[in-house]
Amino acid sequence: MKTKTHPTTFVHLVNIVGLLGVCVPLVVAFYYQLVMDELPCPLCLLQRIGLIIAGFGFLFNVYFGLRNLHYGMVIIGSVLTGIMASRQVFLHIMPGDTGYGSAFLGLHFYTWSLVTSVVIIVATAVVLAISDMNASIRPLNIPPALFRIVGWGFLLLIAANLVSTVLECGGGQCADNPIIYELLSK
Amino acid sequence: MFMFLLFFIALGVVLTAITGKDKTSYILWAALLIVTVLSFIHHVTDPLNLSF
Repeated sequence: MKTKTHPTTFVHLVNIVGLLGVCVPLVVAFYYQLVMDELPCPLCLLQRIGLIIAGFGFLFNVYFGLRNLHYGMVIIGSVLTGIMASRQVFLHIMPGDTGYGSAFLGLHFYTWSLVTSVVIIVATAVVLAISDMNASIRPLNIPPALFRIVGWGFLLLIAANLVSTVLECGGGQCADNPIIYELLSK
Repeated sequence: MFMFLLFFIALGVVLTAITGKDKTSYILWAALLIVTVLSFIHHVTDPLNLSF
């Protein structure tokens, strides 16, 4: 891990928090999938992937060192997530449409996905603004074990999504409104 | 579109990142981005009856 050779600073810690922030909606989505038995639609899965694409930017900052390229990756992933979430919002925006899936605090999850992507972009802008001060900030000497825990936690989340998607959709296309795990129903 | 493929590539990205292979991670990340965009275009089938 390249971070071992560089002193870690407050900005590294912010990136770890950013990665954990990306993990939260993915965990909540999993909770609703496993506990509430709400299977994700193809657009929902694409929004999860969009968040993961954004999260990779934070992960790369933690593992490969702070680079503007990685912040660009976060923004690209968030914009993509926002576009996909907007598409689903527009699909259910007409009066009388009850939306897809259940709501949390009055908003459906695709709307939360749009809100999350905007928050990530704003947070990235703030981190970029304070990154120039990074050199003058005292090193925090974050234990490398923390980097490893966050990285492996993110890996676990992606692996769990892979398994659940294979179970839900099999080797092909997912149903538009899935109600059963395709592989488990055979 | 094979939806599991997206998570499979994502798993490859995180594995290569954790093992410190930065160039492979970047290439796989770019591949993931392209496949995701193509998959999104594939799934955008219903026309939106909206005007702005």
